[in-house]
Order: sequence, then C-alpha cells, then structure tokens
Amino acid sequence: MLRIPFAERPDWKQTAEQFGFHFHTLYGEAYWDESAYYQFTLEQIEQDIEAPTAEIHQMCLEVVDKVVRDPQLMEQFCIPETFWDQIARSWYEREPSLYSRIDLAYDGSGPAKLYENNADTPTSLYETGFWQWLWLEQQVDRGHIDRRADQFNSLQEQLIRRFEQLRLRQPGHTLHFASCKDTVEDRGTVQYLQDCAEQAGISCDFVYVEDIGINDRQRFVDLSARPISWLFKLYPWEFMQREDYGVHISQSHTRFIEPIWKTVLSNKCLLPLLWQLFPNHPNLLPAYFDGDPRISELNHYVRKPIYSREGANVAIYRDGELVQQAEGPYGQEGYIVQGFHPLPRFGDNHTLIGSWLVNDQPAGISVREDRNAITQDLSRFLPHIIL
Amino acid sequence: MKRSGNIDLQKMRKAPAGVSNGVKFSAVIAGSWLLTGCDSQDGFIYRDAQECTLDNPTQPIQCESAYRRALSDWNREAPRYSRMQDCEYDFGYGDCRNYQNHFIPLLAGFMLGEAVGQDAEYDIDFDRPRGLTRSRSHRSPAYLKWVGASGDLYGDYGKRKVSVSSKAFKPTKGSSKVLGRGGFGKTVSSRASSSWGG
Repeated sequence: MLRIPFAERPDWKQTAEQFGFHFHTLYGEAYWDESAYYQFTLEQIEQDIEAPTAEIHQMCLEVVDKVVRDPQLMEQFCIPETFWDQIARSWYEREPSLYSRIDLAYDGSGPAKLYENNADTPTSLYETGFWQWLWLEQQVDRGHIDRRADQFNSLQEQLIRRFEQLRLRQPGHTLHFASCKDTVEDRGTVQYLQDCAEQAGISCDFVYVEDIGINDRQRFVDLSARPISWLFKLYPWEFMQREDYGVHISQSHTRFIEPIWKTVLSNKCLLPLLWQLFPNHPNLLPAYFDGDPRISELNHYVRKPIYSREGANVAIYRDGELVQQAEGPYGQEGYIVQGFHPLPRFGDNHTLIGSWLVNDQPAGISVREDRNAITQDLSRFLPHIIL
Repeated sequence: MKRSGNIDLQKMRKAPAGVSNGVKFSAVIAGSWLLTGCDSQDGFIYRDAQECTLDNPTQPIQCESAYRRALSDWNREAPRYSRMQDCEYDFGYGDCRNYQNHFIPLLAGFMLGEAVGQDAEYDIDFDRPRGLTRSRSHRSPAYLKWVGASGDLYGDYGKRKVSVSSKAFKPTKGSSKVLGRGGFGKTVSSRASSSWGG
C-alpha cells in the first residue's frame, strides 16, 4: 500500500461539471483530491480487505440476530420500544437491504481493524462507484497510468444488479428517493442511487425528507400528494423513529431502503456485542459498553456516542487521559468504548479505508485522508489503484 | 477485474445546470384522523350478508348488494403485496389471497353507517359500505382488530357497533387528503455537519 503523488487531470473540474459532481469542493476546501493516489497489491485487496469485509459483515448480522430477540439488548441499543416488534419482524423477514460501508484501519500489512459499520446512511458513494472509476479510465486512456492497473470498485455494477433484484419484489412500484434539504452532498448521493435504479428499470421520483407528508389514509406522500409506497431515505432510522411521523412508520404500508432492521446494524453498540461474540477476532478491536470494568485493561481507548456520524463527539484517551475530542451534537443516548488503534499515517495524512458492500457482497473501497486522527466529513477523498 | 466493466457514460452525464433547490412548499394543513368527536356516528359491522340480514330482516337485497360493493371496493383498495408470505406476515396465515398478480388480505367484514338526512329510506346507509379485515398476526397493530383498507382501525374484532368519524365512509381512492408535512427532518436543525452520511 503506497501513497503516490500524481498529476491532476487538467480538465477534471469541467468533467465534474458535465457529470454533475457538484461537491468536489466543500466549504472552500478540496474534498476530491487527485494530487495523489493509493496503490494496493491484489493480495492486499483480496486477502486483507475483501475477504475480511464479507466476514465482518456476516459477524455483524449474527449480532443483529441476537439483538432483535433480546429486549434487554434492544434497550441497551437505545431503540425505542415501540419499534422492537417491527425491527424484529423486518429482520425475520430478511427485508432486503441495498448497501453499507464498513470503516477499516489498514496500513498494507496485518489484519485490517474494524472501526465501525455505516449500515444505514453511508455517503461518498458516487465518488467511489463512479468518479474514481472515471479517474482511472481517463488516466489509463491518456497513458499516465499502466494499462494493467485495476481498481477494487464494482460498486456501480453491483448497485444496478441489486436494484434489478429489488424491482422484482416491488413490481410496478415507484421508488421515491429522499434526502435532506441544503446538503448538496446528500442530494448528489441520492441522485446517483436514483440513476442506478433507473438503469435497473425502476421508475423513480424524488422528495426532500422535510417535504414528506402524511395523508388521511396514514400513507406517506410526496409533494404532489402521491403516496410513497417504496422509499429510499438517506436519513437515519434513529431520527425517524424519534420524530413526529415516527408513529406512522409501522402503518404506512411504505417499504423502506434501508430496511428498519438496519437500526441495529448501524448502532455503535454493535461493537461491544461483536467483541463479546467473537473475542480476539483479528479484525476486531476490543470494545465495551461505557462503565464496563474491563475498560481499565485498555491503555488507550476511544469513546464514541452510540449514535454518531462522521466522527462527531468521538474522544481519544491515552492512559486514561483525554487527549483529543471532536465536537458534535451526539451523545445523549450514551457511549461505547473501543480500544484505540491509530489510523496509519502516510506523510501528514491519517488514512481510512471505507469498504463497501452491496447487500452482503464486498463491492469496492474508498480511501479518505484527514490531517486529524479523527476523520470527519471534511476529510479528503483520494482515488486508488491495484497494481 | 475488480472494477465495474462497463459504465454507460452517456447515462451518467448531467445537464451543466446547478443543483435544484427544490420546490417551495408553504401551505400545511394540520389535523388528524379522528374516530370520535363532534362528527362521530355509529358504524355497524357485519361479517357477511347473512349477518347483515339477521340484523336488518327486511333488507336482504340491500345487505347482499352492500356486501358485493364492499368486496369490489376492497379488491381495489386493499393493501397489495408482491409475495404471499409478506401479506400473511401482516394478516395471518391463510388470510390472504391472490388478486391480479398481487396478494391482498381477505375481506373479513364490512361496515355500514347510519343513514343521514330526513328523506333517507332506511336507518342504515347501504350505499356506502366500507370493507374491513382483521389481522390474526400478533405482530400486527391490527391484531384481532377491525381494520380498513388504508390501515384505519375500528376497534376489537368482536365488536359489531362502533363509533366512527363520518369521514370513515368517504371513498378512499383518489380522494386522499394531505393532513400535514414536515414530520421528518427536524433533527436536521440541531446537527453540526453537512451530511448525515457516515
């Protein structure tokens, strides 16, 4: 695994404009960064990332299977009781999922370590599935990168194939896509998924999360008052369950992507449960619920809110002392503690691997860099190759 | 090869316009589906035409046609499932059937309202029957309750007379009213970063 500084395509911004990639620069800072790329060997990809990704995912599903059957765990996961039955039912039914991303710390050798599972609303999908793919195509076509170079990235192909399967289960239904207002990144992610779904022959529509309405038949509706029978929502289940329309979810006749059982999978309490079920697994870091006496056995650890995204409210402790903390709005539901395993550094950069799954198949990686040890939503996205 | 073999670039191109800000929405009607209140009226529930006739011995024909009408409305309005097991999961084993390539719960009864207006021919309004079913799946919120095609609950399955909103007898298809918007997305205002994604 190497970080190779590289010349940017001189025309990449115009290309981005043509393809509708509008969030390559966020808050005046570069988000898409092609001034370097990461190079992996095929063995690194297949043995150290692809295979463990599939295995970690299966282990996570075992945790889900345990949690949905256990009211005490559902409570510990801070899932509102009114949704326990629906979540269990969605899981027993194996309501189909679309995608997820697990975050790994990996430096090119040894086992990759699982940081967390973003199973409900992962973003940076477009950059991974399409944009870095296009970067490699163009760099190879222009003779700047070896023709033999490959990329671990079948994401778009797999997404379209998955949508084809989902279409057969919802014949004739329109799939609505929803994201929040005022976030160009989320809108772009959802537009990309909509493109993939359309290429799979699904009829699609869009509605902002805030514009979703309820009609007198208890159905969610879009802005034209059309019932939403099938909804992809880039909005976390834990918020929906706690908001005003949460009470309508179970009777709405709406099918959701991701399905509601992902409430369990995207919860940080997954981490201590994984360690309980698979102690000392090479791809896991020790993890405990806050207050567990075994935390004292960890010299260095990270405290993470049960519900948190993009690194918000994460705190790093060394020898029990707080050394670094990220700001954020999360934490009222409680925390979990995970053994500290620093991200590998390449120069000044801390590098995090996002490993994608479509349903339960590994589908590619994204590489993100941050100057900070806690990667947040402004960390830069770099392309990668396999050679 | 570990990457997508073929991506249709033509399909991935976008017009060079900026990102739409979406449609402005202002008018929001608040309200809820009330089953009792000022406009409540009695509803009479029958499991079939015979039960209706026992209660209304002089109107067997009206009972029969109300049942038929409830059934045909039901077939059109009932929740549809693409798989039998999905339907049975909601309504109970053996309580669903195939209808036009979909699966719908079986009609379990129908509800008639009081006749309103002085010149009404009968005490009961046979012209606006409401198809009902009930769930025998204990996981369902409609477990052993009367439930309409749009998920509206009308009390325990044993009940034969219920107090309902007069709206309950309005036809459902094509007449649904938006009661409100904005029930999702409120957590948005308290967030710190640009995206929910992880």
